[in-house]
Amino acid sequence: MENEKREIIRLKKVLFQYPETQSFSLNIKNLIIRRQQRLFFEGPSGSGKSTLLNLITGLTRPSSGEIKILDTDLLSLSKRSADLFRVDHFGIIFQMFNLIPYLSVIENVILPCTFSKKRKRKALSQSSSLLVEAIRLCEELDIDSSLQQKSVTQLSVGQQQRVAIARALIGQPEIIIADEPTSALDQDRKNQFIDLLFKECDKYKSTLIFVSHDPNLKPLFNTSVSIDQLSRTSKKEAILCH
Amino acid sequence: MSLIQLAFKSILSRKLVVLLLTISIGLSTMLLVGVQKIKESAKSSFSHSISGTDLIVGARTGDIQLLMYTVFHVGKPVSNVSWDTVNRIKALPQVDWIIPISLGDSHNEYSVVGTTSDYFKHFKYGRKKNLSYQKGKPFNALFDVVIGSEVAQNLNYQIGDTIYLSHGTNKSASRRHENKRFTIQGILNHTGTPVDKSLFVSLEGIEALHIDWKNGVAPLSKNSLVNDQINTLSLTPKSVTGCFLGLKSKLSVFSVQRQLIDKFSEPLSAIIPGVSLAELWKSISTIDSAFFIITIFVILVAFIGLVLALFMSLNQRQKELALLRSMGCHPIQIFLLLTFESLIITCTGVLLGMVLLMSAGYFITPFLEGKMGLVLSLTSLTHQELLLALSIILFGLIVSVVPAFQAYRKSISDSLLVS
Repeated sequence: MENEKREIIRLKKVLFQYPETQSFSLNIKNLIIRRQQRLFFEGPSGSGKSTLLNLITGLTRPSSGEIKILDTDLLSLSKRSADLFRVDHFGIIFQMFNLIPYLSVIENVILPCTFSKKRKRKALSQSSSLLVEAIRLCEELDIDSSLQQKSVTQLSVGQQQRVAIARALIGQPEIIIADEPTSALDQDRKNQFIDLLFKECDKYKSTLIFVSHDPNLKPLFNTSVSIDQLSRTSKKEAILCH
Repeated sequence: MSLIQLAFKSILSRKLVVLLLTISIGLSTMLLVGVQKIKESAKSSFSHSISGTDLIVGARTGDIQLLMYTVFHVGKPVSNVSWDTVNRIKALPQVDWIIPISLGDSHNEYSVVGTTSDYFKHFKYGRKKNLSYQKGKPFNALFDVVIGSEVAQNLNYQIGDTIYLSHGTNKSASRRHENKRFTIQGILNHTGTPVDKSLFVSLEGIEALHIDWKNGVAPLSKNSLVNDQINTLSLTPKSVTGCFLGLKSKLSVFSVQRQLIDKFSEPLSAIIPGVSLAELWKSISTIDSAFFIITIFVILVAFIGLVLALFMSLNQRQKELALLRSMGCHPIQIFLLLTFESLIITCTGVLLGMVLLMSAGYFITPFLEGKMGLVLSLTSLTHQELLLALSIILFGLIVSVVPAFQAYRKSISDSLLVS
């Protein structure tokens, strides 16, 4: 089990400041996320959750510090490599607007494999073709074949979010990031969505980082952390997996 | 899925805007290429209206004026060339053949050309093509007439029909030559030249029309001689409007021209048809240049529309592009995606323009040929027009780089989570 608990994300002494303004800054002393951890990341809007996600996914660079993802020094990557690294290792689910409106459900699910050879290869190791793999994932997520044929704009929000999970899972990236994915869902659907997400992440041994400002969801996760905590955490108190 | 497929699907999701853009690019392409085609056709119709003739001779006048009335039957000569002079020209050693022509009469606004049977033997048009007969044969008897294809078609004439000719070329002022009935002997094939709009009779026929005129005044209808009374009279022409010359050697064309202008007691003009046609074309083609500039502006407007639509779609598509970025789509690929999209729209537009032009050509060509004598080859594309179409596409590509580059720059700085 040693391997399973190996650390997958580590942020060390990361300082981020918007170049123009001095008003906002993010200061993370130490953050370690381990494999298959389900991390609930809480904080009110504007507290820097999105910034943190941008830092982890390599879209934003910190003013100083060290970011290691899957033993790769993210800051040493070029912009292009960072882009590829992101799609290779991250499945991302957004709050709203998760799907490309002019693509079908299946095409949306396959899309990450268009840009990532690694995920394409992994997907093809699961099924005989990308289409078969996309259909398999859709069925696993209760998106039945009648929905698969529809234009994504005809889907309900709940259905769209399930398609977004399928797309995040295709090609089995190590880390799933969900940014307020439940904010447009009602309470029942929120729970259903989270259950489904957990089930899938377990199945594919993915690490989950779930960002929300909704404290009701917090008990469902085995670890939770807030921005405030992060800024205060000293090295000794580094957040570890259960 | 490739970027090109992605571009296609993205375009298909915005059908209305794309359709309108395609139509506007299509119409402006049609206009631009169409104007070029009309210009080319007009030019070739022009320069093909006479060929194989080395010199055109008439009474002294402007070069273009002489060309206009002898070849295009537009305008009037200042004076005639005497028959005596015609005979002296014919006797020049360098002259191979001579076609005298006598103008000034008409039939339903179509001009009547008095000439000799040499006309049908030596007159050439286009790429040195001889006149040929749709039906019938050349004129033989005094009151025979051969008509051009357009005359036959528009007035619905058949071989054997009889017609009357009128004096003068202006419909309202012309006066019918009473009692002199002409019989249609032949109908010429279509040539795309003024020949189609002409009627041909013998020089003697022209003389016969005017034999009973006294001091330039027509006889009263009851006094006018009828066909049979004329047949026996002497009908050698006194003068003609001009003549077409063929020389034995092309090399002598300038010396004969000099000779005709300088050495004859009668003041003559002699022109080389090709040279004067080029001059005439030059004076007309400024209008055409103006047209060309206007169509360039039309193209510009169409592409401003395209760029505008791309810019506006960028705002709408901000989230979509950010989403693509989050899935590993490189900013360069975003740039290419947008460029592909406008390339597809431009290509479809240009293709539509060509199809429109060809189908318009199918319907308009007969009209243009009939009314204006323009022979358009709208259904085929020349090398030059293909180049024009390609440069429109290239232009579309260049202008669409601007919004695509903006999207590129934006997607570089885009953060992943737009919330």
